[in-house]
Amino acid sequence: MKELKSRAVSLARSDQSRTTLILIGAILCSGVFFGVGFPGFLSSYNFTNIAVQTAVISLVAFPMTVVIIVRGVDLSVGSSLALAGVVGAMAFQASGGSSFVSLAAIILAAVAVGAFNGFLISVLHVNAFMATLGTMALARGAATALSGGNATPVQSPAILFLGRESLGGIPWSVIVTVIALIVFALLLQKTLLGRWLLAVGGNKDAAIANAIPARSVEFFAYVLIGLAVGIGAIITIGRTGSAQPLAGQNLEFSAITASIIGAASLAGGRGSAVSTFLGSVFVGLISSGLSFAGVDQSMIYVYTGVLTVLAVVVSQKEVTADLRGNVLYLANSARARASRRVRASMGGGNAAHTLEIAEISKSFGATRVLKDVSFDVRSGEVVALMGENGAGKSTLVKVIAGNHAPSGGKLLLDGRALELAGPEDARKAGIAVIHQHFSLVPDLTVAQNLFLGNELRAGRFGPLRRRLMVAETQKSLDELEMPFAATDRLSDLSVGHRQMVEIVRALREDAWLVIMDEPTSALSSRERDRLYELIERLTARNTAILYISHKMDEVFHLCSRAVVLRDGQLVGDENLDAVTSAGLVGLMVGKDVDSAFTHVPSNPGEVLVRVSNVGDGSRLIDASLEVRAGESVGLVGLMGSGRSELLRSIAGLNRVAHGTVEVLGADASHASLHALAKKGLAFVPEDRHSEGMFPQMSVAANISLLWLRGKTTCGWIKATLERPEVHKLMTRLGVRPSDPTVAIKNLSGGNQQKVVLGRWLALDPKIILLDDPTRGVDVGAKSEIHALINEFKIQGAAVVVTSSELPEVLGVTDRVVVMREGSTVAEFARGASEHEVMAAAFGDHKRSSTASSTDDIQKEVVR
Amino acid sequence: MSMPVVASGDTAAWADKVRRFVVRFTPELLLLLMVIVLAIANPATVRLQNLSDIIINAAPIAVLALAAMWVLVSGGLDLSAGYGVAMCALLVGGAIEVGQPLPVALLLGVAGGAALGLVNGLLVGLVGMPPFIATLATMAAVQGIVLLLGGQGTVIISDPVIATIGSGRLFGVPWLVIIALLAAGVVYLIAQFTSFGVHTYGLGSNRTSMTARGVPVIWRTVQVYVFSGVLVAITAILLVAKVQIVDTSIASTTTLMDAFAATIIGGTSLFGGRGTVRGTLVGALLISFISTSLVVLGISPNLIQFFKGLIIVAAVVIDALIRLAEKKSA
Repeated sequence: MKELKSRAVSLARSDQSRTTLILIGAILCSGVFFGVGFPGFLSSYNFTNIAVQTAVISLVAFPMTVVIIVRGVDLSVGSSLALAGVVGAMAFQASGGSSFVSLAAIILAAVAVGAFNGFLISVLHVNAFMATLGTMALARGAATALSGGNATPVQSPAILFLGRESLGGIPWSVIVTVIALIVFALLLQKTLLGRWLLAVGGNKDAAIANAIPARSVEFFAYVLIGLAVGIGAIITIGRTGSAQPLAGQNLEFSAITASIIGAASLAGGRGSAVSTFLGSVFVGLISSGLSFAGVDQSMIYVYTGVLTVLAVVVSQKEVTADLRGNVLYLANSARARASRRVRASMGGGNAAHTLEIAEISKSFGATRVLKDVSFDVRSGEVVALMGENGAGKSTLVKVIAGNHAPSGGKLLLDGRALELAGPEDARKAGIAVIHQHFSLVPDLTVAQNLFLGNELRAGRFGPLRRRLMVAETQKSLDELEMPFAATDRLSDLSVGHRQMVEIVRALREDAWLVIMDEPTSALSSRERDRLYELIERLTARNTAILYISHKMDEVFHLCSRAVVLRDGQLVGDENLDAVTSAGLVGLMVGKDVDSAFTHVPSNPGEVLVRVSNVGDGSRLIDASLEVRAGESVGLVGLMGSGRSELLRSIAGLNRVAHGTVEVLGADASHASLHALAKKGLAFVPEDRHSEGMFPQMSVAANISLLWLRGKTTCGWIKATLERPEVHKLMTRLGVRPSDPTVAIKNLSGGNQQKVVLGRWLALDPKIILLDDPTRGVDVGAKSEIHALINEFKIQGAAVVVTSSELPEVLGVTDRVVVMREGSTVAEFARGASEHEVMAAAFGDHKRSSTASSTDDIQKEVVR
Repeated sequence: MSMPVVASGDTAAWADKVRRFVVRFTPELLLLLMVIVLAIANPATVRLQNLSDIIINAAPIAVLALAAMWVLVSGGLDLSAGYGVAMCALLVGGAIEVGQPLPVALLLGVAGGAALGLVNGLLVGLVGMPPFIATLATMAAVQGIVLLLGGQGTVIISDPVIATIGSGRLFGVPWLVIIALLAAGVVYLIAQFTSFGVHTYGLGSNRTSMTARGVPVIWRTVQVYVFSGVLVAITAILLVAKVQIVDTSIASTTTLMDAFAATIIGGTSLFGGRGTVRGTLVGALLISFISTSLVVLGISPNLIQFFKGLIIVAAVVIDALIRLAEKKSA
């Protein structure tokens, strides 16, 4: 009973099933409404009529839903239908009256158009809207040209059959539609191809990372439409008795409307054949009912439009959430705009300010991220903020910038309490965080970006004073010796320069404290030097800078002080003249934590993976690695050191520009992930959101995706095979909640990660590459994942694990390989201290410098 | 656009300059190519009379293409514009027929276009519907209104002012062309000299940043669609003046498609943030050139749509290939 209830709840929560239920209800209600109000509505004659009218629309709407599922659209279906009909009529005459040839020609013509669309969209990557707009014109034009603009009567009973005849009182066109409904419903729900379609549409990157042939799947969707259009053309000829070049007008829009009302999401990944059918029927029902009610045909069109809007608002929850948000936004924005002010020059920053962070704590629910952090920042200082991943740096920055309110403690500006209701307030207080993705517009110029929202005008309503804005901007740029012009388009500037634009903007808005988060991680060395020069000029103007970085040489070069966080607490506020990099590392790492991590002794067998001096032409430079069966190797390094790139190069997802990768004794430098997966290699990517999971699909579908590949009979998924395997995996991994039909997006991070792991585990892999598997995962799930790693080892698999959390890696793995700046630099056996490993990862600050080496020039990538 | 890779030698730099020139002036070059090809095929196509016809035919396409461009630049899409033109035309024609003075009739048409724009803008900006679906729905509704208005039957306009606009000239330049150029000028000035213009491009380029910078995004979205709606109405007025017979077939999806083709060939990006008045005008000329010249060449009107489709597909494929090549070199 409880199972039934929870099933009902999950059904109601799913957008798709909710829509299906609503549609059923709506159909019943309108059926009753019109039936009671208008005699003759509820007659079999009328229903047959409605069914026939909507038959071709539904027939085409099913594959249209499939195309929408893979994030596409097809505007050419109507024209394609007309063309297929015309071609068929011509073939009939040309072949001396052969119905077979004619029918074949119709189907072939329609499929050809579909294949052409598929080619343009999945191979050439043309935008689906534009491509099908073009083929729409092409097909319609061809139909008109070939037929001379005239309808060609067709007299073969074989061709007219589908459109004219009935079986037991039910028109064949309706029977065909119902068959199509069953076929498409089964396709989407019960076949591997259906799963693949949903996967490609739901998350194309993840589909590719799971070795699904995304391009072929997309292409196939368009061919399917072609097939349905062909059948639709036959039916249409049967109905009218002739092939008409103007047939199928607006068919595409009716089909798309049916799909959308059936809750297909234009963002991809969601759609159902049954709902599409119901959508089509519902629209047909309403049109018929209104017609009975004496409403003019023109108004019926209007009501259809209104209906579509309502259907979208009801079925797509994202939309209603937007609506509420927008109304709130409107209410707030008036207030915000009134209080915003920007000065034309950058004068304000010269006064001296102090920001005091006083015992700031921050918790998210039960998780405490910051505890009693206290330090201050004064004008003219450059202070480094350091700490390992998860130490609380980003949260602290968000508190200072007004994105989060502190749970305890407060901020003081020049001795007075600072209450920040949002990032606007922080800006007004002169605190600016540099992140270019959220506040710069690529297609506008530097000057336009700087004055965005505060453009200078002649008078209150006059034209923009463009020359003045450019001049003002150029003045600021010149003052800071920026290497670009005010009239440069932002998208033409490199990443480094865009960052500088952000900084200039911050200064123009009177920021006295500028917070930079790992600003040089995406820069070439030349741009880095420029940034350092800019920072020197800023400090000369008394600007304060809070600089988050893990690069020792940078920190010692630029900063005067370093504030160190560990586990949310302040563990050091050091003057950089008085401390060494080793000392800083020591603060970040603390004393060696007793590993609560279980370790199992390993029994290494033969070498399964051998990487020799591999580089990928950009971040990965020179990496070498050997992994044996039955051992687990940890791969550590700072962000940007090339760990992920190395794993991806082994897995076939990243280029191998030089060097070799050997997997299971065979050269795998250019092998595909699919080929490697078949041999027994598993790769779990770093970011499960972008490459791991398919958010709309259920846990079961996510877990079984790879496993199903070998286990289907001609693509048909046997539930009796799938269910026990899914259950087995979920139990083994401890995935909670235990309901396999829940959409994976509703699970916690740890459980999501377990599902992604489970997907690969189901294949019993011999080589397992895990890229930061415990990121964003709670403590309980973490230890479960560690236990799994040990299990694989015992079973003889070779495991490589990267992690940003050193204690974890040191505790669980047999040995640790350190990467720094794209190369493997050190290896430590089990028992090494965190300190030693971190020192290797950071490198010594005295050695490296900002001087460009030949290596740097070669890898210069100006973005 | 990607920055040039550090290259060695002068030839690489020169080749790059050529490449940038081609990318920047693609629509003009395509037009030139088209003119040359067709002139060689049949010199009749470049007779002055034909060229004059081409420019006149391009006028309404250009204005509708500008309407489409404005919405595309803002990151949106307006499928209802085609039938919207018919609706405005019927409003104008109907008003004239019942004896309303011309300014009132024209104003009614503009009001109709603006109202359609308002509905679209609210659905996209306030309700947050994806523009494709929102304008698909309004397109259906407008189709109905067109049918309703068309019930009045075909209207034949005999107003002298309309006749002058339709076939008269000012210093040798047809009034239709003058109005279209004026509209283009207004769009250009708005794009370059008003914050509305800057914000429209910004919306299509990075909506999130615009919101973060405090730009009134919702209000701007509504303005975009309303402005586009006014341009739709002006297109209708031009068409009414040009053909002087108003019925439901005066404009439809084909008209919209021509407009889309014109502005996309003219360099407007489907993803927003990019589009120029110059490119759109050239695109309109190109589309008009194809239609008009093919008629002159004696090609049946049935084939013309085929060729137009061919051009669109070719343009779209070329654009895709250019982008693929750019990605490989980046």
